[in-house]
Amino acid sequence: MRERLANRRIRLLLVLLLLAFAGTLARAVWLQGVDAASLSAKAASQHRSTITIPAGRGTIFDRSGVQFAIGEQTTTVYADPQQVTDAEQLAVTAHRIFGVPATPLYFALRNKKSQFVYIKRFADAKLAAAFIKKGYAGVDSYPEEKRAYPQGSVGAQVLGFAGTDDTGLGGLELQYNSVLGGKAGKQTVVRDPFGRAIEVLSSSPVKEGQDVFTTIDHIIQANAEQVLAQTVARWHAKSATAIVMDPSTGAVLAMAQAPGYNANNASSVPYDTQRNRSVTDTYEPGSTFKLVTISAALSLGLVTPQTKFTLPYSIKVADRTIHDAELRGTETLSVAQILSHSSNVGAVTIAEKLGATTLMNWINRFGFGKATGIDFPGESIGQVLPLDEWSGSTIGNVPIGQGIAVTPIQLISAYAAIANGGVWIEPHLVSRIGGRVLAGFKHRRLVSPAVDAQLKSMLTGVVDEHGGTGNEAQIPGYTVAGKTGTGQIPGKNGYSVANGYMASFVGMVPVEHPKLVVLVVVNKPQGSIFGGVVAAPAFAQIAKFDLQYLAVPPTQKH
Amino acid sequence: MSGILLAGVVFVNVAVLRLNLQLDSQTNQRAKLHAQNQALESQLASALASPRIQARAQHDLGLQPADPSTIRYVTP
Repeated sequence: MRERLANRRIRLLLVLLLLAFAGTLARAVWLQGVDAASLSAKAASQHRSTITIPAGRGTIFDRSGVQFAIGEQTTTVYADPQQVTDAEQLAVTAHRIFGVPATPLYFALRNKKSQFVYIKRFADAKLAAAFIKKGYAGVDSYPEEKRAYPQGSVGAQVLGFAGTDDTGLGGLELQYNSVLGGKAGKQTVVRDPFGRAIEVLSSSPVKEGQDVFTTIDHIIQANAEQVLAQTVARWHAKSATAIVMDPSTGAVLAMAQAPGYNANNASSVPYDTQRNRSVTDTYEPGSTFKLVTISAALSLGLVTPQTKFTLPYSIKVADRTIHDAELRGTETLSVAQILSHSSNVGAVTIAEKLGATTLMNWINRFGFGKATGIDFPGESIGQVLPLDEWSGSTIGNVPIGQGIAVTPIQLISAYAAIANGGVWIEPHLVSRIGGRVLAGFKHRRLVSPAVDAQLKSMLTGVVDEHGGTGNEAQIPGYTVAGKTGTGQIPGKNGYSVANGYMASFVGMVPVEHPKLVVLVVVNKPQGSIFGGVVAAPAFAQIAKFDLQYLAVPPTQKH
Repeated sequence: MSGILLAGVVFVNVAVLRLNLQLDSQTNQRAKLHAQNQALESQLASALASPRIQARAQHDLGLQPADPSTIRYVTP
């Protein structure tokens, strides 16, 4: 009896064991067969992670290797409101550490429908680490690069800016975005419970952004900006622009503007102030445009610098009366004097000898009405009236720089060609990308060396001769050649004094072997409107400093 | 024999794990140093900014830009 009972118990135990084994087997089949995919995915999500390794944006340097724009590593701290347990404390701590407003953050963290809220973007890495160390639930961070402009306001309009996602949105940042930007890498890693990577499953390499070396010299740029700011203040002008160029290479050494702004605060600056007017804006050049008329007449042998014209104070061209800036009687002036005294009547008289078609050809030859090709986004081509739209009076306007609009970069490129022996070179702002030196800039001859020498001599007279309009541009020890310009600003109803004037001066120095060409344009000066009074002193100030800085020896004895 | 082989496999795996941990630590260190380097470069560039130096030279030290006429160029 007892033996039978024992056998029954053994069989029962066996059945129980078999049932347990079957249950375990069924569970194992379920987990490893039916539910395998979803469980495997869950496991992978817990210990595997794919991280994006951001590519560092390249640095923008000035020509001497000083950083204009640089990427700063920061930490962006964020929260998942669905995971946050103490929104109030989190908001208060964020305010204390980062200085962010606590109330809006608190309400954002309370919104359980959202899964992502920035606590602080581009936070200082140390502050972010201190915040993360507090161990709040639902808080995490990731590294992010922030664009910084260590030179502040120097070259702000030229550099442009990069957006919060580190993409160039203006200026050189936009122009060279593809090379500055690089390519982010990716890495899939297996992490241990402490978050340490114990295995790299796959990775694609980071391609760092390349550095861009500009032709701008930060010291020449800073000085030009300072002089422009003083000029704007002195003449209560609306704005001013200056370009400094090396005529032998077409390299822009400075492209300055006033008013300026701190490039680090670009987002809070009006677009009007951010625009690089040297390239994007046009103006009527006034008498500085007489260079084209005189160059054409000399090149075609219609006149020589000594050819004399008897000129009344005013002449009638179709329905318009053109007169000189200052009241005078009828005078006999040579071509050189027409330029040095900036006679409108003289320039129009020469232009009439050329004829409209020839003048138009020379306007095109000097590059007006088309982009210079400078490496800057949004270059304007200016406004040149097509020949078939010229009226009878156009030949009385265009030769003296009216009814035609040019960009400062077009005008200085034309004068740089004269400084460079008559050869125009494509202006540019960047000389090197990474290790690749940029070369092969376009060039073309505008005038013969003989005509070029005549033009230089005549332009020297503008500054040197008694009664020349550019006397204020003189620099002791150096021979300066240049031209003044006073252009009227056209309004909706044509020209009127109320619209104001553009006062300008463009010159080269030392004229024997020009090292610099400088253009200064002052927008709506008050008190005086003349380029020789308003812009020429600014030219002298800029050029004097630059000659000293570049150690260009004087060409004249004191 | 198989015991030795098993011990060898375990040893290699532990070594790989250790190297991966070192690699992770070095990568993090490199990223930190890179960030610090960039921050220092930025600070240096700010400190070297021409307007800042000029302003300090004028206000703190009372220096003025040299008059070009006072400069003598030595020519060979």
